[in-house]
Amino acid sequence: MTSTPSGRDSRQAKIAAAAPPDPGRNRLVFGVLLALVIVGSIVAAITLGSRTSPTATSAATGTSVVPPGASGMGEGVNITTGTLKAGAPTLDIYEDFQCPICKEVHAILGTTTNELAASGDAKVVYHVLSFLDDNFKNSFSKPVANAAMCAAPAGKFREFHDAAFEGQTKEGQDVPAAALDGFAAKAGITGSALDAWKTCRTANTYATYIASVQDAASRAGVTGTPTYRLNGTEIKWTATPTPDALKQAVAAATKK
Amino acid sequence: VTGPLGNRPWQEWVTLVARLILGGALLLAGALKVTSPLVSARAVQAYQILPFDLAAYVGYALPIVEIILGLLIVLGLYTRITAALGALLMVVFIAGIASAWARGLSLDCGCFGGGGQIGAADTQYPQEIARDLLFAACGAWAFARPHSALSLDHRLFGRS
Repeated sequence: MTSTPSGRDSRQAKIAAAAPPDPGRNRLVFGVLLALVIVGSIVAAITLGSRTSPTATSAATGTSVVPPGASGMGEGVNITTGTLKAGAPTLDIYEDFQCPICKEVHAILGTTTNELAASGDAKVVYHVLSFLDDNFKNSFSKPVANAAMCAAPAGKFREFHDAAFEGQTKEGQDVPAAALDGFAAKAGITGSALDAWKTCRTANTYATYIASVQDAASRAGVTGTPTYRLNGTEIKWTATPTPDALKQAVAAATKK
Repeated sequence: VTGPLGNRPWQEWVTLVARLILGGALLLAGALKVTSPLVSARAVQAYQILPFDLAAYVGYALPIVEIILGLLIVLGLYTRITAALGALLMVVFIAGIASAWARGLSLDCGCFGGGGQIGAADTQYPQEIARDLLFAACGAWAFARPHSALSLDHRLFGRS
């Protein structure tokens, strides 16, 4: 009447199956599995996210062309035409062609900054940013920025820049191609220079440079536009910016 | 009449509401940001607290962390630990916002997407902190009274 070993095993198996599962053990095993999935998701998110950074995306596709007026990747375009006076400060202007407030401030200060650049009272450097395209998920800041850089070889960057702000189209929507042609015409780009501009615009020649400027500005702590910096210090406007306030700030920053 | 751990039955429903508020907010915040990792990275960088590159990694990871945590809290899975983590995350957010405020930065908190610098008159630091305090309180409650109605903790693991 003794049970065979196999019979005892099957009886024990039945007892084990009938016993309620240990909730604490299930909880632990499931929790560990869940934790692994979570860690995996976070690693994946960081890896995928890193691939969207401007330097990473442009390094994969872009060229290494820097526009005339910029001293290298990440550097702004110097629009100073006059001989720089002794002790003249550097005025760094960070703006995004899609930003409506940049248009407003440029309408107020543009004439003055152009005068400062022409007289050599300040070294005026435009840092053309493009982060609003990422915020709105549209195509505006980057194509206009590239088209503006395409005007630089013809010596018309500043003219194109001013025309692009004056004729700024609606924020959040893609910029129409016709608008870019209009800016080029208003900037006075004609003939073979216009052909070169069109080729450059279509080829997106300065995509890498524009990404590098955005990256450099972010690293320099520029988190919004427009930002005006004199010798590296942000100008804090007490109220609405005025030409007089800018002139005074430049005078105060000029080394005697 | 008390349940396990001295929970009263009505408290299980309060915990459910707390879970839905905190978990729902985290889920929404994560979902609105997860498709724009670059914008999320810049929002974290704008606080100028972490080193630039580390801030980017935090920005990439944050939306997915919020989604997972929010989902677990809404489902009521590991309520005690996830509620504690949710409340802790809110305390970190509050500290970040308060720090930006104290340093005179003009930031959109970037809590539900967006972020970065805004006009000084457009900042909403008190409202943002108050909102996160509410979420933190929900997390604290669910941590203290983790047993709740309609939770996977009950379904899967019983009233352990």
